[in-house]
Amino acid sequence: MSPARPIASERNVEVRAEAGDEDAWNTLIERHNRRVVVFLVSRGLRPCEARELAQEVWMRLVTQQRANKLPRIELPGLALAQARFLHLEAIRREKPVVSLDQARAIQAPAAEERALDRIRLGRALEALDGCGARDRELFEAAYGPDGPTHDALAARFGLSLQRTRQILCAVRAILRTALEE
Amino acid sequence: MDHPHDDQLAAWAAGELSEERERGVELHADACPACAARLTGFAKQEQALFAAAEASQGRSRTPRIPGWAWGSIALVAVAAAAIVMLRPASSPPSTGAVEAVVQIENMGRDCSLRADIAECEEEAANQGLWVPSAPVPRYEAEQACTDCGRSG
Repeated sequence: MSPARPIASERNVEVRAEAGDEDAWNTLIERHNRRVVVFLVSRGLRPCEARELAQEVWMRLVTQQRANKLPRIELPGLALAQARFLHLEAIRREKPVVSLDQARAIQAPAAEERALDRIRLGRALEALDGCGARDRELFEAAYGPDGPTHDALAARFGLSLQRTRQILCAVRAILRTALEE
Repeated sequence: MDHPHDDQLAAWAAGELSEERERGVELHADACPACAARLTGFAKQEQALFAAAEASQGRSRTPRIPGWAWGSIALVAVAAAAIVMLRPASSPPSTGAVEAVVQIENMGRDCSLRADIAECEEEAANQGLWVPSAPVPRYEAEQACTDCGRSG
């Protein structure tokens, strides 16, 4: 199931980055770096390690773009995939006798955990169905690929900034409860 | 800083803290293994929220087909299958399909796009530059994968 296509402005920035526009890269990094850092923390890195590795992610992507090895930039997926790769590499550097399968076992969740993840996701979707259509759409937009700011969301949905944050906070709380069950 | 409350850690994961508070949480987690583990938990939850949003968006984009239409769809599917079975031998793939295959093959050679060690090492093994059973890959990164920058 692929994520929603980025809004036009996000795709425009990506296209400019594909052409080597430094400002476009800075915009994309500013927009998606936090997502990469949180992703790496979710994989067990401490915040300082996550931020360091996130910098390496962007450096790697920019270097590849300059070497014409990135025909298409789609974020945050590309950055998260690169982060996963570099984290696996870091594990293997720390434990050189670890084989590829062992490194993957360290990284990958066990089968039971994956099954639980699917069950939890189902519960989260059920909980999301219980929220109003507008609240659900707001949540989907907030967690969409272009990572809009709360100000942008408020403008898009015609809400005040405070109301936007309240709705997101409420929906998150509902989903977290569902995920913890 | 005292150990941050769960709400603060959740807010960090959601990006809702001010820069100063965010920095405070991170500095504490860097020094406190217990809070670092808690932060990992909230970060995992945040990833689950992204997954839920993505799945929900996918459901929203899938057109809902009313029950009465399924009979018509079944008839069309049977007719289409009959046409396929009765047509002459398939013609060569179109230029577009060939280009797509070439693109996929090129992507497989660029680990930054696939970001998958297996892709790189399979390529290295195919070129006789790496023994899969070896604990540490022994290959020339430049030859196997000009992107990954690893050295044997």
